[in-house]
Amino acid sequence: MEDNEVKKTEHQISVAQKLQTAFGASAVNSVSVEMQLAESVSDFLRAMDVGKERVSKCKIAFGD
Amino acid sequence: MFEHRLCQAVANHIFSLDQPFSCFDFIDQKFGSGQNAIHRCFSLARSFESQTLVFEELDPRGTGIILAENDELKIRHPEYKSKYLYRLSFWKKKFDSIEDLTIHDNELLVGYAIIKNDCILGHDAPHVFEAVFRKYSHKHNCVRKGQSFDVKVGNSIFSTQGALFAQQNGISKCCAHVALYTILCNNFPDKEPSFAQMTQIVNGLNKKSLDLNPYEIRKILDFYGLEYHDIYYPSPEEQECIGNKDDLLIPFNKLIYAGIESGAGALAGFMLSQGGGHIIPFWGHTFNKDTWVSDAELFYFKTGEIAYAPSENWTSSFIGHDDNFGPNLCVPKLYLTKKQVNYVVEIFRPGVKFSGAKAEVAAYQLFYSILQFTKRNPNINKWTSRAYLAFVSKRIVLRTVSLEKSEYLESLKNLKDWENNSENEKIIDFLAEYLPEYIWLTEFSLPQLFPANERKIGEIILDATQYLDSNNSQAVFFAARFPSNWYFSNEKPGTFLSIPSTLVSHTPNFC
Repeated sequence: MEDNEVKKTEHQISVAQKLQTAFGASAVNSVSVEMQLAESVSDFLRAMDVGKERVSKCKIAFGD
Repeated sequence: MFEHRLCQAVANHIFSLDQPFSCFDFIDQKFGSGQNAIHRCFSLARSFESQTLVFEELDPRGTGIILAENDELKIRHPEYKSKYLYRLSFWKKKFDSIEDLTIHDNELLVGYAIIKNDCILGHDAPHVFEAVFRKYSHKHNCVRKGQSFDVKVGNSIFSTQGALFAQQNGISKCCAHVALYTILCNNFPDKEPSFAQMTQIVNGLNKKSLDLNPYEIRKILDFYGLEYHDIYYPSPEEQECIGNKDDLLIPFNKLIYAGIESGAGALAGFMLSQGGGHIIPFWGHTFNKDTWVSDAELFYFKTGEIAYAPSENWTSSFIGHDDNFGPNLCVPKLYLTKKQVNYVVEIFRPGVKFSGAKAEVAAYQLFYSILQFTKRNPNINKWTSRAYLAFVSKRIVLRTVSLEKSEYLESLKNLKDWENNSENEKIIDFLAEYLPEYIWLTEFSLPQLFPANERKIGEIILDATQYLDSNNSQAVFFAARFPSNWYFSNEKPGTFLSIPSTLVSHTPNFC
């Protein structure tokens, strides 16, 4: 695991522990949420990146 | 630094702007005809009921970045001369002598303009080197972050707030240079971008043409450390050669709006009917709470299975500068058509790593997914239930802004719901420790709540300090605040830690 990933995981574990410490274990509920729309989101984000890549091919200039 | 704004004048003249003083006659006499940008500065001064003009003569050789520009002009054109350099300031106070001005008059400064003359063979004309005027205080004009600029008038230094404007001279800087100058000055008030430096960045004086292409625009933004997302929209002829056109369906307005709402601004480049390209900066927008959209299709932003009502529906105009016409102009959104706009740049606020347009779609995924979870709760909060009904009818309103941690915490501390509840202080303390330094905040609301009452139901928080992976948008999720519940992202994708929120109904929007 990369160092950044280790730090991130440590941070997230500590977030859970801190929440339980701050609010009491009984107040913190772990919930499972089925993440929806993954394909639509990925398609849009990739389309944004395609538009950005296309900039390198443009031949226009602004000077007026 | 900023010597060009803070240098001592060699002479000053005071003019009362009361009738019968004619701004038109004054401009014709001093600067000649056809000076649209200078006229616009005077018009703005009049609109703020300015009473006195301080007209200062500066050393025409210039200082600071103006001197650097003149040195560059002499290399390009050995016969170059600067005939004059003036600093004009407009005041909501009557006075006869510069000594009558004190630092206590700061709030009475409406704006200033530095006007420079450049003279070479075949060209002898003034231009506005830079100007800062306050924006109208009209409640429909929204500007996220106004910068303050110090300027010397007489023997004192004053400060005025606004979006800095600059005009091209057509011999060493064009519309693209001055648009970038606006963006850079408005984002880095403590740095000193210069036109001479921009010339160096894009291959110095070896460059044959004055105009800038997107590659060069990117080079300048990269040099100054501004991050951005830009998109090129090819002409219809070029599009015939393109296979995947999905990116062309992304409305350019979305990037302009995202840049404006982030506080950093945006650039829009378009081809002119007479040929050539023009590019202008945007830094604000109007907000018309009574806007009605007749066409349901225009009301949604739709991509794949995603469909929602973006808050830009209630924006009729973008506020920006056009160096051919002057500062602080409202450009109706409908005037910028798909056929005209070829290049758009959403500027990110310093510290933010990805686009607000992307953030909003990623936030929608989190919102939708949690909403699907909450509706299974038989004791669902009534406002969450209303949000669900709005979502089903594709009328949920989303509005996305980038914030510093301190801005969000201050807002949350002062937030009260309709029953006058405040948020639990333990949550605020927790966020003070763990909230990222920069966030994208996507507020969700209803069409009947957001525009007229400027209130929201809840918000989604994304970590804006990380880069957004197109294949793993969940990595930037931080938390979601729904009425009665917070959901904090946990280490395992799709799992959240839920804790109660004491805010149980709608609250005011952020700003």
